Amino acid sequence: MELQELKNIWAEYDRKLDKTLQVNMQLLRQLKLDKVQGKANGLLTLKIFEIAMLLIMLGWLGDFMLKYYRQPQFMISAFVLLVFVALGIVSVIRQLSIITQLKLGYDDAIAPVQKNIQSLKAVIITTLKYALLLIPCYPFLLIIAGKMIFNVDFTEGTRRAYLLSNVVAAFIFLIPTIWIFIALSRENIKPWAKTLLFGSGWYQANAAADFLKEIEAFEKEA
Amino acid sequence: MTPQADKDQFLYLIQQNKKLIFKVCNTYCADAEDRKDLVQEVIIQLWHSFGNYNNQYKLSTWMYRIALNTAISFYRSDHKRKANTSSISENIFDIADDDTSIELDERVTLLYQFINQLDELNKALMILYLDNNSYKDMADILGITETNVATKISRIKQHLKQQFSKQ
Repeated sequence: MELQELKNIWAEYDRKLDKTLQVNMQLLRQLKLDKVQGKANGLLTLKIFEIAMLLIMLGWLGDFMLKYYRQPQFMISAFVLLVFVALGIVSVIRQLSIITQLKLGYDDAIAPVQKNIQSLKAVIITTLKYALLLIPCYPFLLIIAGKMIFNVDFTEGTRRAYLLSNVVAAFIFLIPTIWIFIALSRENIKPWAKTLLFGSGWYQANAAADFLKEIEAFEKEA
Repeated sequence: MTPQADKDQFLYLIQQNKKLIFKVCNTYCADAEDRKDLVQEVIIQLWHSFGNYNNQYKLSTWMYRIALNTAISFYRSDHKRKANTSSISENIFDIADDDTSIELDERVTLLYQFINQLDELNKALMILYLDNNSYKDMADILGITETNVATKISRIKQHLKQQFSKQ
């Protein structure tokens, strides 16, 4: 069969639709056409809220570092958390930029719009992946929270034992976290890892990455 | 223009371009229930962009872009029902009974079978090609060059020949 024959069938089908396709105008009038606007604005508001929170945390950690710059235990702890917060800000700015472009609507060409949608999914999921690394870093949070909330230093005196037990627990968490992180960063994720992460967003991340590759291949001239 | 006049103009536009929306939705969504949602979603997205329509582009280019972008995104969301569409029991588009030959229906089914073998982006290309769009319009809608459009059409032709020579 030739492509021209398919075109002829399509044209014939088109003529049939001319005669038979009807629009249910009553139903069309009842459609809640403005709902989508609210959804897009909702996502934008959420991201603005996220960035505001992260900026407050950044300022707060910066202030903490200035206050305790002579005490390395506080300085290092705050710095580690500050790196995570800064990475979070970069990620949300990237998301905001994509959302703003998408908010303009779907009336741009297909390849760039689809690329933006998939990039947004990939950025969100990658952010979640890096946030996983916060789990083994929680003793740093403990040191800062101890100082800020209770004005105690967990690195001193009898409290040191409590902190050490948390450091040991963090090390225990660190090993599986890194293992999962590396396993999932591979192109071919093993079946056990897929089962483990079912529903966590990894499938969407991989699907988004695959589709991005497909779009790039589609855009490429042979 | 008043909001009501705007809406009336939009509804007229949908009425005039019903075939375009129907064909795109039919190509990307085989399931009849999901297709109802996709039709709604396309119309909502068209309405969302209606106020920003840039008349430097053809109206059909604008409609194809929105309908195809929505359909591809819908397809990639695992055909899940969208939160911003409310479930409806009736179809916005209906096909009236007619006396068309069964032979045409069979050929159309065959045509859809062929299109469904293509990936989402090539499906869009195929719809645009079958709808007799120029290579320039296809390039504008898809966001690729005209040369690239020509190369891809030629590949689809080869694929088609190979497929039917096997049968």
